[in-house]
Amino acid sequence: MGTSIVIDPVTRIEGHLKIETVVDDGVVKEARSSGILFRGIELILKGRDPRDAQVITQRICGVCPQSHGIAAALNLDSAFGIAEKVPQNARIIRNLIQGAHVVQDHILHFYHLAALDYVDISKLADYQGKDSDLNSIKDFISRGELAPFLPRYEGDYRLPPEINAQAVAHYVKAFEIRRIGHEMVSIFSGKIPHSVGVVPGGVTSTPTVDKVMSFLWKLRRLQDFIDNVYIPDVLAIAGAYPDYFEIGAGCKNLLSYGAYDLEGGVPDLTQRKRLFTPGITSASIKPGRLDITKITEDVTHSWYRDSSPSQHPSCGETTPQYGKGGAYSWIKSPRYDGEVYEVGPLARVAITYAYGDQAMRNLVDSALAQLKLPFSALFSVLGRHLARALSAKFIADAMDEWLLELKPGEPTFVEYTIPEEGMGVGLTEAARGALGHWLEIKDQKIANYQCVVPTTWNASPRDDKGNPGPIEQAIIGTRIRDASNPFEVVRIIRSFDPCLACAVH
Amino acid sequence: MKPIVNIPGCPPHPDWFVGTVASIILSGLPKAEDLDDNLRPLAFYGKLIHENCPRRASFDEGKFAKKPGDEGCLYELGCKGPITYADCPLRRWNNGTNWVIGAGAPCNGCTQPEFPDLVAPFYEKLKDVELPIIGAYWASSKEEK
Repeated sequence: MGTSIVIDPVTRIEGHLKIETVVDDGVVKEARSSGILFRGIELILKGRDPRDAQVITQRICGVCPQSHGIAAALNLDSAFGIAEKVPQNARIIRNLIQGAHVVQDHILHFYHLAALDYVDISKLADYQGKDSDLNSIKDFISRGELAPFLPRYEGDYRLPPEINAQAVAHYVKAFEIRRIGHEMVSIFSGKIPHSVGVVPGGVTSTPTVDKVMSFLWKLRRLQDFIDNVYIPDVLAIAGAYPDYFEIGAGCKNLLSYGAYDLEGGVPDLTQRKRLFTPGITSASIKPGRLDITKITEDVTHSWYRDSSPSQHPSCGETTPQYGKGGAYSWIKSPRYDGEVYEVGPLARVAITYAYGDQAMRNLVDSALAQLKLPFSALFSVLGRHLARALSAKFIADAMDEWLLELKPGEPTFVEYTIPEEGMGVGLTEAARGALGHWLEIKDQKIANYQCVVPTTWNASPRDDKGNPGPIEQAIIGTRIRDASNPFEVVRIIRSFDPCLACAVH
Repeated sequence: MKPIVNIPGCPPHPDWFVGTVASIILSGLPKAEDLDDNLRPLAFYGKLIHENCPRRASFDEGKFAKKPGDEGCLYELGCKGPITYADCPLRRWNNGTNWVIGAGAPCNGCTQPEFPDLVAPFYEKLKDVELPIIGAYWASSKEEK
C-alpha cells in the first residue's frame, strides 16, 4: 500500500483544485484532479438575449475575462452570420485588447503565482541593501504578516542569493508592469476586469492617434520587461533547476485553436490565418489539422447527469448531479477524437513551430540553444514556463505591428439582426489555452450555451475509457523526494497555470 | 446586529473598497447620513453616472448614438447611466485610463441592486426614463411658478 498525499486546496492558482495522489516506493502511482466548486454560468445564460453572452461569460473569471469576451463575440458573430464582415479595424483592436490582457496574465502567472515555488522570499528578512522594492518586502516580512508567502513547502530553494534577491525585486516590479498591461486593455476596452469594448459586430472604440500613441508607449514598457527581466528570469530558474526539464511531461498531445486573426473574411475560424496557428501536434512535432467536430465532453467521472455517447459541445448539456457514483470532480473531460490533449502556451508555441512559422522557430530555437536543450525538453514543468514567456514575447512583438495597421476614421462595427434560430461557435486562445464557446439560438434567445475552457481540458478527470486527464498524467510516475514537502507535485500542477473558476464555469 | 456597508460593482473600483476601509480605520464606521438607502457610501455612490457623464449634453439635446462607435448619448444602445449610482465618469478605471462610456459602450448598471437580471438585456434601452429630461425640467419649473 502506498502513502496518500492530498493537496487541498492547491494554493497560488485561481480557484479551488484538490489533488490526491498515491505514492508507492517514492513514485506517484495514482493521481486524481478534482474541481471542487460548481458555478453554473452556462445555465444562467439560458433564455437570455444572445448579445448579453459577452457580458455574462466574462464573469466566469476575474483573471481571464477578456478571453471569454473575445470567444463570446466570435461565437455571436458566427451565429449572427457576420463573421466574415467584421471590419479590419475591429479585428485589430480585438487583437490588441486580447494581446495586452494575455501578456499581463502570463506575467501574473510567472511572478505572482509560480515564482515562489523557486524563489525564497523569506531570505529577504536579512536584506541589507538600498533597493526600495526589496526593502518594502523586508518591512512586510518584519511586521510578521507572512501570508501569502508562508506556509509553504521547505527544503528546495536553490537560487544563489543575488539572483534570488533580484527575482524578489522583479516580483514587486511585475505588479507595476501588470498594471500597465491593464491600462492598455482599458484604452480600447473601457476597463478591466470585465471590459466592455468587444461586442458582436466589432468593437465600441474608434482608433485615434492619441489612443495609438498611449498604447504604444505602454507596450514599450511591457516589451522591455519581457526581454530584459521575464525571459532572463525564466532562464535563470532553468539554470538552477535543470531536473524540472525532465519531469511533468504528461500526455504529449497538444491542441490549439490558434488566436489573433491576421485577416478577416473567412467564416471558419480554424481556417483563418492567425498569429498562433490552429492545429494539433504530439511528441513528433508534426503539424496536424484541427477538426473541431472531433471534440467531445465526457462526464463519466464528473458530477453531471450522464449523456451517452459523449456529446459535442454544440449540443452539450450541463445538469448537475452531485454524489454520482464514480464521479470526483465538477470539471468535465473534454477529449479530441477520444484522446487526452493538453492545451496552453506549450501547445500554442509547439503547433505554431510545427507549422513552420519562422519568427516562432527563431524564438524557440535561440532559447533552446542557450539552454543546450532539445525541443523535446519543452514537454516538462520548466518547458511550459519557457513556452509561456516566449508566447508573451511573440504576442507583444506582434502588437507593435498591428497598432500601425489601424486606420482612424474607418469603421469598427458592422450591423446585424439577431436571427430567430441559429448556431454559433467562437474559438480563441485564453492565456491558459484553447477556449471554445458554442451557442444555440431559438426565438432570438439563448437556448443552449456551452464553454469548453483551457483548464477544463488540462485539469479534467478520467474519461469513459479510464484515461487520466493531462495534469493527472503529468503527475503519475513522478519521483517524490520528500512526501511531507511534495515540491514536485505542486510545481507540475502550477506549470499548467490552472484556472479553476474557468474550468468549472 | 453588525453594521453593514455595501460596496457594489462587478467588480467594484479598487478606490471604492480601499477608500471605504481606510475611512473606517481612520474615522470609524460611517454615520447613517454618509450612506444611501442601499447602504452604499455616498462619497463614491452619491451621484448618478448620468449626472457627471461627458455625453450628458448629447442626451439633453436628443443626439443619440445609433450604433457602437457613433458620437452622442448611448441611451438608445442600452446605457443604464440614468439609473446607476457611481462616480466612474470622474474617477475612471485602471489608474484613470478610461471608463465604460469613454470606450463607447453603454453602462450596464453593475453597482445597482437590479444588476444583472433587472438591467438586462444590457443592449436594450431603458424603459420609464422621461425624454428629454431637460424639457421635463423646464415644464416642472413653470408649474412651480
